[in-house]
Amino acid sequence: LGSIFDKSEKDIEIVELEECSGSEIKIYSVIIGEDDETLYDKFLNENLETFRDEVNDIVNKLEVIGHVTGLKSKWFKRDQGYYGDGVCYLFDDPDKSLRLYFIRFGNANKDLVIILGGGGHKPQDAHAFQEIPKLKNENYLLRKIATILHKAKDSGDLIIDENGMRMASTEDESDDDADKPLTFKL
Amino acid sequence: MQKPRVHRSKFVNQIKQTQDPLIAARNKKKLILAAMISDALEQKEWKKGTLANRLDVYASEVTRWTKGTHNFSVDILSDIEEILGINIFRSYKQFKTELQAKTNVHYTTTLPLDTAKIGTEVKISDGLKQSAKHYIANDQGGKILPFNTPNFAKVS
Repeated sequence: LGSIFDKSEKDIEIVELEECSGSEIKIYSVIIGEDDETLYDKFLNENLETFRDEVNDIVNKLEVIGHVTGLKSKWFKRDQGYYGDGVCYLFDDPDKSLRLYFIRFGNANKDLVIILGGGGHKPQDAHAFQEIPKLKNENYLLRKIATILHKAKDSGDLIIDENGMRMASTEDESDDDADKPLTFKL
Repeated sequence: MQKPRVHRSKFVNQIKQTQDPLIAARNKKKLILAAMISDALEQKEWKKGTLANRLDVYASEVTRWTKGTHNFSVDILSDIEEILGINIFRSYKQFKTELQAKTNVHYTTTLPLDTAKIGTEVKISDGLKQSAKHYIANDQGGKILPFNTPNFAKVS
């Protein structure tokens, strides 16, 4: 997480999550720099020992969201970032011990994609996420990523539709560019 | 074109391997039930209170149903089906069709069964029972093997 406070510019790569991305909604996460794990992987790894049931709940919920039902309003909390940036969090039920931040993109009719970030434990006695450094860092990292993605989308460089996310084709694009990963500068 | 690579998480795999599959399936079905109720309410443009009134329960209970953790009784599911006009339970006809599909193996051939050669496909159809003396052609060990399903074989 130190990356958001680094002065040096790093690449972020958006990757599609094989296990949960599906026909109902495309689900992605983010790899920062040279890492080989996504922010979602890190969230799972950090919590699977202490919050086994909660992690199970979130993993299963994401599978259902991606493949069967799409995102349902009762399963997440919206407005967790800057105004209109789509930063939300998913929580486990029934205890709501964990928060997994994500960015939600959609149109008036439906949610199109979600991009999972990291998250962590929110103790019951904490009033605001800002009181918990881990959650605060994860939240602000995702806000920063949301800003980058919105900028790319608004400029027409990034396309987000029912087929998921991709960069707009350019005229000078050659066939060699076909499999380039989707990256941005953080 | 730049597009996201597909990423497989080693942690998701690890989590799924250690999950109790029955509990995982149960929890997923609860989520799907919750989504069915939410979608039906949305389609009818009903507030949760409307359904609550019709079922004589508190609105907070309907909210709980849409969260995906509620352990429904058959009684309440039946009432929800009736009031919302949706099918939560499969019909008995659907159930029978699926059950039939699990026990039937479908093959087709134009050859009489007992002259079918290895690799020939044989049609199994409903309504005509034949004993296991009939054989189905396949390529296992280069030998025609007995066909031992509880169903029967008819050559079309």
